Amino acid sequence: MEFPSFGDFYRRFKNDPEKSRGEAFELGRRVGHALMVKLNLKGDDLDTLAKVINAFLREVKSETSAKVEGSKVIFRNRSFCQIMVSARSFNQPWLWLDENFAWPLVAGIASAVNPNVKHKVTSARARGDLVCEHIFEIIK
Amino acid sequence: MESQKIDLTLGSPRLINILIFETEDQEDAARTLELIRRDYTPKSIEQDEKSIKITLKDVLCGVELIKEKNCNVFSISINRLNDDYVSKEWQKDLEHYQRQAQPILSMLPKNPILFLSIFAGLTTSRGEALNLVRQYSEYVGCRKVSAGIIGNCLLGTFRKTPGETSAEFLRLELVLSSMNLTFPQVKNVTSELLVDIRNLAINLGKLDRLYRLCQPYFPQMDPQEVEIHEKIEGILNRMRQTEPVELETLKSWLSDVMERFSTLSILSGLIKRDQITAKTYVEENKNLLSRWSETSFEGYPTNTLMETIEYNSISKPFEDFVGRTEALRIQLETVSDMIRTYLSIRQQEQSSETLKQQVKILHAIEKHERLLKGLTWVVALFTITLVILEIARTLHILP
Repeated sequence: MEFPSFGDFYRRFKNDPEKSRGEAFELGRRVGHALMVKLNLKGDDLDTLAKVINAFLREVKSETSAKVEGSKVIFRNRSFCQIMVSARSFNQPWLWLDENFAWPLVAGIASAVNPNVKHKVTSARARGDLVCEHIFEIIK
Repeated sequence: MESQKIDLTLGSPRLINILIFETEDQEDAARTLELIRRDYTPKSIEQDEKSIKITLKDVLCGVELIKEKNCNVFSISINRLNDDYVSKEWQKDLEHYQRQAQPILSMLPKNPILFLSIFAGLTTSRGEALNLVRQYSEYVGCRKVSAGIIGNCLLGTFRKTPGETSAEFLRLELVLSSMNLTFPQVKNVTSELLVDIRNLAINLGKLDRLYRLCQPYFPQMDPQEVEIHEKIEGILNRMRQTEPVELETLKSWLSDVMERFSTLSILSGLIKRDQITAKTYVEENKNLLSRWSETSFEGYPTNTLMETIEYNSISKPFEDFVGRTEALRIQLETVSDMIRTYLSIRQQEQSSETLKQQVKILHAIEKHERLLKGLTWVVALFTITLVILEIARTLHILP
């Protein structure tokens, strides 16, 4: 699975964050569909959502994993990630890459499993928090 | 406040706004200057490629674009048309200047790395200069004030604390007052000082921008350390147990540790690079400040001292981050070496076990072969006996 370089993405869309978010979401949707085919998954429930997100996290070598907690899928990350590395490599704002690329990408992946998934980032290290927390809920 | 009661007259008041932009788009700055020139054409009285002078009612406004140290610097200065003008209410004059400058400022790009506002004027004594610093501090609402004497000039800096400002760029207010000088003398003295201030500001803007980009990384060291220590402890605990660790588990640990090691190494290297860049800006500014030979003024901390404190507090987190990531890197390297050694021992153990198994199998095969050989002889002897018996029977030797 190939992802565009974060640096290229920033250079292309730095003056148009809205377009960046749209592109990233669409890319995420395609990635989500591809992962579902690869894993032979057909459901649209929380378990399937957690499996697809974990498959994505493995692809990007993230050291965290998503879990179903009640009526939500949650993943938390506190270790250094690729976005952090990329932001400093290309002298780009970390928060911009998170808000306009990484988070919409993850939301797009979740929407491939179920278009009614609501994605929230309740805590973000790029904003100075000590952990990144992503929460997914299926809105009925 | 006592300072408010004392009358203060300020000769030749002047406002200089300096905005520093990173030069991502060189043409953008030139285009902006062109737009200003076009909008103020009937009023502009003097212009060259990089500067414009505009007369606006009773004031003269100078707009200058300077390209320096990979930055575009816009300097917008405003003063009265009459050089001998003396302000009796400097606050009103300052607001008048600000109103005149506003339309020009609004035409500039929106993402400066630093906005510096210098209010300059002539005072006749130290007492008046002190009064100006006190009044200005109150006027702009800054508590963090530094001031000092450079030659015959008083320079006061008013910084807002992080809680007092929400700007995405650094904003500084300065007061520059020449004491006991005539206007022509002032022009020479202040113009040199203004070039120095501009150079300081460029480095300060770059330093602040770099710090803002790196700042979110600094608090991440604590959770990262906890996370890695937990991971290392888990691995070491398992390795200490008597039951051998599966090869697959060891391989997955190794890949996990190496992944963390490489991310940490890259990030540590990147922040180290930023630390060196920051140090360059700081050193350049410290050299420049040391040339000023600034002396203290009425108990205020000098600008040099405050700047040095500021630079140290900016440099410290870079140093901490690099030091702590290096320490983590060493720990991960040690753990990965341990896993590699353990893995290699386990592989050797496994291959010696395999070898033993193979020897056993060989022995068994040998045993079977011997048995087979024996059986073959028996069968052969039996067959020969049968053949002899048959021949004997055919020759009627046997019945």
